[in-house]
Amino acid sequence: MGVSIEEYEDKINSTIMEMTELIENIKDHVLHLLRDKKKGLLPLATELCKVAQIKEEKVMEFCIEALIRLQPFASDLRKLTTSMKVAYDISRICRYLRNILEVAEEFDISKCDTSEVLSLFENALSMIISSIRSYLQKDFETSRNVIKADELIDQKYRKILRKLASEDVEHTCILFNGLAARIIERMADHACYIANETAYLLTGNRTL
Amino acid sequence: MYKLRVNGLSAWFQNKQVLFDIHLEFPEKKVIAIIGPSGCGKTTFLRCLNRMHELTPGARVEGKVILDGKDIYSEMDAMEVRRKIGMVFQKPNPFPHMSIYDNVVAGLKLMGIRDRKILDGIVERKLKEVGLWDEVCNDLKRSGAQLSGGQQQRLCIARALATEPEVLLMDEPTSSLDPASSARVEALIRVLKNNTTIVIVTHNIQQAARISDFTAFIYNGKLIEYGETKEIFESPKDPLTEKYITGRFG
Amino acid sequence: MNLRKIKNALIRITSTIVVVLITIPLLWIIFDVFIKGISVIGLEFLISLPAPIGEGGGIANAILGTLIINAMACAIGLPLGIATGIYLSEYSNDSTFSTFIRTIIYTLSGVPSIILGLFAFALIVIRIGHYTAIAAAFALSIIVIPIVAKATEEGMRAVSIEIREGAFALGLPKWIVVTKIILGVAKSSIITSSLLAFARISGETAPLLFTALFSYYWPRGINEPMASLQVLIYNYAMSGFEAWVIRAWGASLLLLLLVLFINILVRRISTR
Repeated sequence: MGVSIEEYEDKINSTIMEMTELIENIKDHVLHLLRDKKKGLLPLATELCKVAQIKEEKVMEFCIEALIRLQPFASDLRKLTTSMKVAYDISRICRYLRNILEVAEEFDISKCDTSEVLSLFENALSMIISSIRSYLQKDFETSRNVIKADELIDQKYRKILRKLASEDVEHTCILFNGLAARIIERMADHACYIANETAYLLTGNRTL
Repeated sequence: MYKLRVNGLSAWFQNKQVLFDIHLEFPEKKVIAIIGPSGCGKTTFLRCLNRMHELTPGARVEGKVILDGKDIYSEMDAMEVRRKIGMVFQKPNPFPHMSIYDNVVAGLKLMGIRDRKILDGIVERKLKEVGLWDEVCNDLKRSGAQLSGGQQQRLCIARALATEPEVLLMDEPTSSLDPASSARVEALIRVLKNNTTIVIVTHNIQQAARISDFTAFIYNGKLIEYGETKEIFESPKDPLTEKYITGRFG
Repeated sequence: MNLRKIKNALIRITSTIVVVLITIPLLWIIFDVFIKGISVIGLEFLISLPAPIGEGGGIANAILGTLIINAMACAIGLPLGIATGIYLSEYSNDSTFSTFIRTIIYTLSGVPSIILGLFAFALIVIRIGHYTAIAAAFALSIIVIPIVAKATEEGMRAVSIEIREGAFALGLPKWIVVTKIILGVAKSSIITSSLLAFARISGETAPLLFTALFSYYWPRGINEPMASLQVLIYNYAMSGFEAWVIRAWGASLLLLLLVLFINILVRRISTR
């Protein structure tokens, strides 16, 4: 056999790492937006998302090639199926990040209070980073913590929604904050998926 | 519903124990793959299931193998067991002195069934079942040894099926065949599953993953893990199984 | 040219020369018998009884006698030989007893045929009080037994374990596996050895001299002296009369043709 599963694993994971760097990059723009209400970052984020998507496809190609050539089983098989899902989740997170920027373009949010959404975003962000780290480092504990943290995000999300519903502020702010919170909550779900996949990779069991 | 239950099976060659206290159930009309490294006892295990093991001088068996509630060792005669639990071997072994026709019905003819009409019907049905009819229907009188390796193996499967066994044991049935013939035999196994329980020993783990519903992993004469094939090949519980099926053994 | 090539050529040339040298006398015998024997062979020679010198006559009684004696020897020797072969191959479990039997049987094939003739003479001819074809058949059957037993045992042992297990896996009892499968597969080697045994006893003369002796008439019964080609050749060749000597050559040619024919048959069976 010309190639080993380890070689594929290296190639796949370094691509996933590159995707992670893209996330780090886009998330800075989102932070910028939520903290400083800075706009006009959408075109750049769109470009970065496209790159992430290309990298996702690259991971899929590696995986399919490895499946065909190695016909792997057990943990080798799980390495490939997991990395396909992780790559998909990361690319999805990229697009969610971009969505936040996109939504911001629609409204004038200069006077909105985005502090709660920012806090929600920071929580989700740390989940995403941890989940990817747990995957790359094969760290079961971290992945479990990510799954636990999801509940917190959900609670916080619902709290924001309730508050928005009862608050007397400008409609655009309610809309923006609501939509952004919703997107962030979805992002956190994908972090959770990554954590779950990691747990499956490591134990062979689906903890869901 | 279990067709065959193996209860505390141990086997010896002279004083050397080769199987250790194996417990296992085979559900009806499923394909069960037995995998394991060479010399792990998987073939011996298979041969204990139809009392072929005892043909080897100095061989001994303990434990029970229960076919539909009857222990094949204490409650059945070896000949009866072998008619109910057929076997296909690693190397195609058609009887070289017999025609294709006689090979198919060898088991019946030699046990005294002479009715030409019945035999004709069985030959046609069984050869069709194994997909050999169209290839040989015009020269059934030809010697079975003149067929190609893949055809010979299918002929042997037809021969084993002629006595209408309820369980079919296959000992690495494709290991001496080319890929195309192997694929035909595998396709045949999927069809046979409709009315037969099939236990297949294979050292080709991809094949086990392709054709079986359940997989048992035997190592050093011990049953290490048994479960649904999808489970075994995706997330085996035992580290030994994991090592074996990912090719990281020894 | 290097040393290896020289050695190679040397061995090829010497072996070719040796083969030619040993083929010459063989062909010579066949040619000589043919030339001397062919003149006498005709219809009368083949179908009539011996006649006094000068009156022609044939050797028909000897031809028939040889066939009868051989047939009787085979009728005794083949079943016993095959049964022995089956036992040694399938039922002996390689015990010391079977090794003993095997040694005995195979030693038999090395015993000079004249001793077998004497044995038959002592055992049967003396008891009965006259020469008889039965004693001849008995003596010759002892030559047949080891040949056939050995071929049967070897033929059956050569049947692969795969074929045997294939038969057992069909739920067949051992006696059927042995008689219908293993014996069936070994059939051609048994037939071959039987034919060779027939050819071999067709040439044996010494045992016949003590047992069937000779007769100038048609065989009247198996418990009678009986003519045979072998003894006829012996008698006529030693007679000194030219007419008889030439008949001896004719009979020799017939025997030679018979053996040749059987060997060709054996070749065809075993290469089929």
